[in-house]
Amino acid sequence: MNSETKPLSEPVFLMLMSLAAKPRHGYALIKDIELLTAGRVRLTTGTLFGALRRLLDDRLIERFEDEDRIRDKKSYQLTEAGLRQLEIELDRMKQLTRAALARLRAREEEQS
Amino acid sequence: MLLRIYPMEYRGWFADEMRTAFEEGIAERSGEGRVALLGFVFGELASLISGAAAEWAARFVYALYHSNRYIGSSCLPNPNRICVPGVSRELYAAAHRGRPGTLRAIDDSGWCANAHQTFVLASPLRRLAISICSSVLPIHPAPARRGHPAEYDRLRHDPKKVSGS
Repeated sequence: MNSETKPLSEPVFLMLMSLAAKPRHGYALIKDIELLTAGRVRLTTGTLFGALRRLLDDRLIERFEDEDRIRDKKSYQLTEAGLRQLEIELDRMKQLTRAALARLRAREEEQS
Repeated sequence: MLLRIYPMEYRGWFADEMRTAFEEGIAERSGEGRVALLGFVFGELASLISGAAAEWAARFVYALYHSNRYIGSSCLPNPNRICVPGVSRELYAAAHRGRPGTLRAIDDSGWCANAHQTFVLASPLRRLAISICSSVLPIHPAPARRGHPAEYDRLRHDPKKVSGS
């Protein structure tokens, strides 16, 4: 399997999804991911910042000073490469969903 | 205090943000009762310890092959070293002129300019160690995902752009 198409881990995928809408700082990412998954996934600080470090290293996101904020907070935004990676992952998931649905339909037809 | 178990570079980048996120989490959970608060604190402590172990491992693997910081300046040539044989002039100049945030200098072999530089300047013993280690531990964990930035490719194939440096 090409590493370009290697599946992203769930926390990384959720982080890219969250940042696709707008730039966010660390805690806002945790809250948005909690909201996106209806409370199923709540990232811990260690997981979040470890993943952010790897995403920064891979240039999938970038960090910038958010001047609008009262507290000194750094925000993160998706890069072009990050957006491309998210699209690749979405295509992979769509393909899997289609394949799974086709198998389920075939099974139902066999049973009926 | 627990943040001290992380590598220094990591603390420099994220310590303040991690502290803020932890404080905001505590403030939110404090209204949900003691059990929720304790669960949150233990979860955070466990993730900090496992996160620190993962960061030390990443730093150790990176330090085997490189001479610069593993966050931010990762893979770019070390500016404190001279341009050496084995690192092309274009690559060296391109990397020095580019901003670290927009440039990643990994060549076709999967080695970055910094790894080349480190290998060329290393003692014979260290070169042997690097060669042995690289057969087990990858120099760049996900080379295809990092890719070549467009700016790097442009500079690499158009030496005129960097002739001024």
